[in-house]
Amino acid sequence: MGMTLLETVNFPSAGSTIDFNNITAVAGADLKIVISGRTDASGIATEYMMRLNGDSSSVYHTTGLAGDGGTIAKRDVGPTTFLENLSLPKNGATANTFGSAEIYIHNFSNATTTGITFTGVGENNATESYLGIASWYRDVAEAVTSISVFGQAGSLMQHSTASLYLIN
Amino acid sequence: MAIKSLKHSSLTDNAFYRSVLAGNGAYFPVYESDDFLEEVVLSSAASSVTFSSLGTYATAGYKHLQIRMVTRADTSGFAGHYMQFNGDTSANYTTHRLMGNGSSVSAYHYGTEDYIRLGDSERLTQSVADAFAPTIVDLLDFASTTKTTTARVLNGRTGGVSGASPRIEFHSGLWTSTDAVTSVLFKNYANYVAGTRFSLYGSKA
Repeated sequence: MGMTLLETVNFPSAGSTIDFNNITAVAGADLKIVISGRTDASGIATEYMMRLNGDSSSVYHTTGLAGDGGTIAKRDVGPTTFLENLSLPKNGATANTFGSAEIYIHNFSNATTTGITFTGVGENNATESYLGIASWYRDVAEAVTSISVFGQAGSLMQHSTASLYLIN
Repeated sequence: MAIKSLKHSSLTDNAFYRSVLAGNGAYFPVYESDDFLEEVVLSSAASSVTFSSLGTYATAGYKHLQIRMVTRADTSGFAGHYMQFNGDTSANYTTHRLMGNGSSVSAYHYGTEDYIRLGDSERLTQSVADAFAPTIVDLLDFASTTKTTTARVLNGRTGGVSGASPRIEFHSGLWTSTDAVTSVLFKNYANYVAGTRFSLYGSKA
């Protein structure tokens, strides 16, 4: 099994979304995205949101666990118009601190429901900080050809980065 | 790129292709990532392990690091392990933690400590014999001098003998410095036993 870098999105200035388009099908392969991100909204953390193939209809499901530094909560939502997880730091988190997230898309070229795993952590030098693990899926039987990731609140700040890797 | 399909008829039939691939499979540049960089396997007990050449990996173009560990400690008591960057032993670290033990879940915050917590190693007398606890640490953009360092950590232990229940832990860790990470130290409250393994991987971006 190997891991090949396909594309990196950098933010020399603030931007609204991470877009990976025209993803070439590879039978049996997976995709992995790693994101170092922070948004310019006020507050401590917001949701990562993701859509596939430009689809904004209610076909997405999220099941997961999340913690805020003192409590833990379960989440099981869907269908919604996006996949989500609360672990993207906002601009009220400790200065210069970016979250760390990994999104793993299984067998992305197969024309079946898309299964995805997510792990993400924000950070903040205080009790309030968010981290979570989630299982995501898109209930549409088609291959993944494009991915869009964005924050629920604010724009991704300068120095945010996201890289897309092929795993086969 | 190896050409996988080239036939005489391809040259003589004047076939027209809209893609330069001309019937070949998709081409991906040879830019392998997730490279194995170095490894330490203990041949005798040790209290700590350090990777000290991270700056050279940044120079070589590696953007992200992942450390995969399997650890066991020579104690019947607390076997927590942790990490520090660049020899900084001051209280510049924070950890947030999710933990499940098979019957309950909990969340914690540990602020203003002199390390990032990584969960537990297996315990010599309280864990299944010869079991080593896995821990995976991701450090994104580790050479940045504009970001603090955020760690994403997944850890589990089997326990299995009295006093040490099985656990799964998911952590975030913060080092409040914006220095590039040039070294990382892993340390246990007890000693890591022989056979404990630390493997360092890098990926480019």
